[in-house]
Amino acid sequence: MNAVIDIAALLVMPFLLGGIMNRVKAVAAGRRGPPLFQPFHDFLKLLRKGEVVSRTTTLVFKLAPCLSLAAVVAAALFVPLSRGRAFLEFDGDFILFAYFLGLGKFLGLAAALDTGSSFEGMGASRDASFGVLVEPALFLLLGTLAFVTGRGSFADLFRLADGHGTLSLIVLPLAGLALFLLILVEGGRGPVDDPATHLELTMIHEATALDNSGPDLAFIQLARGLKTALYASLIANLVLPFCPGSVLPVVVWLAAPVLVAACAGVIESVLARTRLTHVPQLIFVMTALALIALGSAVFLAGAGAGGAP
Amino acid sequence: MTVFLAGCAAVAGGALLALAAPAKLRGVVYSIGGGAGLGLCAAAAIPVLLSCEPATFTAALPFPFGPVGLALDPLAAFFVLILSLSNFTAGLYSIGYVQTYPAAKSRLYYPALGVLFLAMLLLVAVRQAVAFLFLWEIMSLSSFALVAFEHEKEETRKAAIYYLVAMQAGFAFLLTGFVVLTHAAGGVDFSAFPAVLSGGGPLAAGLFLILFVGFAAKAGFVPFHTWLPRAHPAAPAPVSAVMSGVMIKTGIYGLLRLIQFMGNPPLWLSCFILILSLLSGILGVVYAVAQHDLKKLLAYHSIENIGIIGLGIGVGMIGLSLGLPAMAFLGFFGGLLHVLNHSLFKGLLFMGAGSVYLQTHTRNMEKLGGLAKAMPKTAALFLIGSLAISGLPLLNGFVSEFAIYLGLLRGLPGAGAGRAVALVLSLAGLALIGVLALLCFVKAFGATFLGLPREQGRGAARDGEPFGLIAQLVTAALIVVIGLLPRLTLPLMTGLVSGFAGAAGDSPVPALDGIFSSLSKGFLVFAAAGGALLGLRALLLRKRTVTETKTWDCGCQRRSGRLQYTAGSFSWIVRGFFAPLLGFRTRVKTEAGPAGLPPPVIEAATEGSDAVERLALKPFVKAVRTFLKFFSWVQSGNTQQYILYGIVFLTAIIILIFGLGG
Repeated sequence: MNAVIDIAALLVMPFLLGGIMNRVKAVAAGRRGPPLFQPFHDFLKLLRKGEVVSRTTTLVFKLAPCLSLAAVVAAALFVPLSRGRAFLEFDGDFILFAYFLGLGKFLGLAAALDTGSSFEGMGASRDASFGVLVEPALFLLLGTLAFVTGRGSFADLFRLADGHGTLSLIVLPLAGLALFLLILVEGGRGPVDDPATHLELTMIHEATALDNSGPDLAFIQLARGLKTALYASLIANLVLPFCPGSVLPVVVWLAAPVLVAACAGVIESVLARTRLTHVPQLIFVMTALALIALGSAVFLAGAGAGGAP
Repeated sequence: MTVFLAGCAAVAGGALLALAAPAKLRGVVYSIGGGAGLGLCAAAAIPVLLSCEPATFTAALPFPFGPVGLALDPLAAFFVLILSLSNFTAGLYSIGYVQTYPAAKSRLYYPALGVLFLAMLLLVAVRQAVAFLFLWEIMSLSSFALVAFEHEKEETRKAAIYYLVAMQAGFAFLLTGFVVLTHAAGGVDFSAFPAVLSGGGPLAAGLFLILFVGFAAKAGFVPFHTWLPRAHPAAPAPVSAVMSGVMIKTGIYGLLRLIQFMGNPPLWLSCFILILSLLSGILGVVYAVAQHDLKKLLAYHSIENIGIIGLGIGVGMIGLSLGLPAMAFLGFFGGLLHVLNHSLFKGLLFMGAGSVYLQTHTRNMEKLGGLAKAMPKTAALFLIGSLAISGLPLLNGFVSEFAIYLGLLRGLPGAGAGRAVALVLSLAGLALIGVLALLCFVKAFGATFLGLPREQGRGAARDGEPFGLIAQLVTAALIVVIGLLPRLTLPLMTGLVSGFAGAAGDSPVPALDGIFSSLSKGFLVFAAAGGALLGLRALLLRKRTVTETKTWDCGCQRRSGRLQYTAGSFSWIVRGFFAPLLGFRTRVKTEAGPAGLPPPVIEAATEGSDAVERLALKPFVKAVRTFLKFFSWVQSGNTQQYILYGIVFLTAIIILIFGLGG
C-alpha cells in the first residue's frame, strides 16, 4: 500500500510542487495565477510536439535528456519516502544517490556545451561552479547525520529523532534549513536563480536548456521537478519519527513538500534575486549550517548528551 | 614463479626483437611480446591473488650483497597484473603513434619501453634492498629516455632534465632510508625489515618518513608533484599513459610495502598520510581545472588520483591504528582498487589525448572543439574515460571511491570529537574532489570534442588507425565491466586486502558483497529507465517533425566557433574561488618597435603558477644555490687544481691505510 502511495506521490509531486510555487507567487503579486497542475499540462503539450535540433550537436545532445532523467529516477530508489524507508537501502546508498545526480548533471552540462552556444556555455559554467560549492556542504551534512546516528544508509540517517535526545533538536532544524537551501539552489529557484526570465544575467539552469524542445525539454523539466520532490521528501523525513501511528506519517510526508514549495514561493516573491557574484555566499550559508550541525553534534556527543551508540 | 619469469622474458623478448625488426613491424613485434607477457603474467598472478600463497624464487646470480630473492605475494601479483596489462595496451597504441615519427626514433623507443616495464615487473617482485634500488634507478633512467623522445624540442629537453633531477632527489631519500634500514636490520633482505620498522619508536617513524618522501616523489604527492605537469605533456602519449597509469604507482607500491613492514602504524602517521592525500587530491584537481593544455590537465589529475589512492590507504592505516578492521579493509580495498582503476581510465584518456594531438597538432583546448563529428570513436572512448575519472556510477572510478567513502563512514560510529571531525571533513573533501573532477572533465570533453571548431583547419581529423582504437577499446571494456559488476573484484582482492587489514572477527566481505550487488541493482534500474525513456522519445518523435537548424544565437547572424564559451571562460568562476592558490598572472611580451613609438605588444598570455612551486620550491632552490656558491671555487676548470685533488686524495688514503692501520 505504502509503495503505491510512494510511487503515486513521486509521479504527482514534481508537477504539483512547481504549480504551488507559481500559485503562491501569483497570489503574492495579486494575480489569480495558473491552475495548480499547469506544469503537468505543459509537460503533456511538450510530449506531443516535434523537436528542433541544432546541426552543431552530436549524439550527446540527443541522449542526455533521457539519461539525465533516468539518473534522477535511479537516485529516487535510495531516498526515504512515506514510511521512512527507501526502495533500496544499503550502507552508503546516499553516496550513490549523490553520484547518480552527478551523472545526470555531467550529461546535462555536456549536452549544453554540445550546442556550441555561448549562452548555454555560460549557463553550464555557472551550474557546474555552484555545484562545486553545494556538494561538499551536502556531504558535510550527511556525514554529520551519519556520525549522530551511527548508521550508513540514507533512510537510517534521517531517523535522527529516534533516541538522540537533545542532539536531534539542534541538528534537525539545521539540517532542514540546509536542505531547503539545497532545493533553492539545485531547483533553480529564487533568490539564486530566476526561473521567470531567460535574461543572460540570471542564466543558470534555464540557459542550459535553451536549445532543447519537445519531449527532450519535457524530460529535462520533469527531472528538475523530481529532484525537488526528492529533496522535499528528505525534509519531510526529518520530522517523520515524531509522528506515531500509520496514517499520520503518510499525511505529514505528503503535506511537508507542499509546505516547502509554498515557502519557496513566498521567498521568491519577497526576496530579490541575489547578484550572481553573491550566490556563492548564499551557498556558503549551507556549508555553515552543516558545520554548526557537525560542531554541535561533536560537542554534545562529547558531553554525553547525545547518546550516540 | 617460472611462469612469471617467462612473462618477463616475453616482454623483454618483444622489445629485443623490435630492435631487429624492420621499422614498420617494430610496434607489432613489441605488442606480440606484450600480449604473451600479459597472458603469462596473468597466469602467474591470478592464482596467487586467489589463493594468497606467495610463489618464491631465489636467483643465485653473482649479484653483490648476496642472492636476490624474488617473490610473488598478493601485493606483487596485483601490480604485476596491472603492469602487464598496461604494457600490452601501450605497445598496441604505440604502433600507430610512433610510426608518425622518423624510423630512427622508434628503434630506441621500443627497447626503452621494454626496459622500463621489465624493471617495473621485477621491482615489485624483488625482495632485496640493493636490487630494489638498482631496478628503481633503471626505471627512472629508461623513463627519462622515453620522456626525452622528442629531444629536438627545447621544451622537451627541459622537462626531461627536470624529471631526472626530481627522480634523483627522490632517490637520494630512498638511498639514505635503505642504508640506515639495512644497517639497523643487519641485512638487505626484506624479511629483516619488519623487525626494525614494526617496533615503533623514533627510528621506525623517521625511516618511514624518509622513505615515504622518496616514494612520494615518484608517486606525485603534493608537495613533490612539480615534475608531473612537466614530464607528462612532454612525453609521447603512450609513454604518458604508462607513466601516469602505472609508473607513478610504484611509489604507491613502495608505500604499501612500508606499511606491511610496519604492521601497525601509529595514529599520527596515519593521519599524516590522510591529510597529505587530501591536500594532493584537492590541489591536483584545482590546478587541473585551471589548465588549458589537455595533457597537462591529465597530469594534474594524476596528482588528484594519487591523492584519492592515498586517502584510501590513509583510511586503511587509521583503521589499523584504531583497531577497526572493517574500516581498514574498506580503506585499503578502495585505495588498491583505485590503483587499478586509475591505470585504466588514465591510460584511456592519455591515449585519447594522443590521438587528438596527432590529428590536430595541438594540445591547447582553446584551439580545439567539435572533434566528436570528425573522430566519433575517439570521442566516445574519451567520454567513457571522462565519466570514469569523475567517479560517476556505472564505471570503475565510482566503485573505488565508493569503498573509500564507506571506509570513512565505518570509522564514524562511536568516534570521539577529533576523529569525527577529521572523518566528516575527509568525506566532504572527497566530495569536493569528485565534483571538481566532474567540472574539469565536462570542460575537457566539451571544449575538445563538442560544439564547433574554435580554429580553422583543425577539423580535418580522423579516428586514426585501428590498433590504437583497439587498445582504447580493451581498456574501456575493462572500465565498464568493473563499473557495472563491482562484485567481480572481490575474489581477486579479498586476500590481498585482508593481508593489510588483518584477519577480522566479522569479515566485512559478505557485507561488501551485498552492497556491491545492490549497486548493480541500482545500475540496472538506471539502464532500464534510460532505455524506456529513449524508446518513449523515439516513439513520440516518430510521427513528428524534427527540424535541423542552427543553434539559437539570439539573432546573431555569424556562425562562428569563436563565439563559443571557451575552456577558460567555463572554468573562470571556479578559478575565482581558488584564486590565491592559482596565482594567475598576465605576461606581455613586447618587441622594440620604431623609435619614438611605444613598442607594439606582440604576445599576451595569462597563466597560473603552482603555489607549491612559487612559495616553497623556488625559495628553497634559491637558498641552496646561494649556499653552494660558496663552494664553486672547487670546480675551477683548472687542470693543475684537479691534479692537486688527486695527489691530496692519494696521500690521504696512503696515510689512512699505512699510518693509522699500523
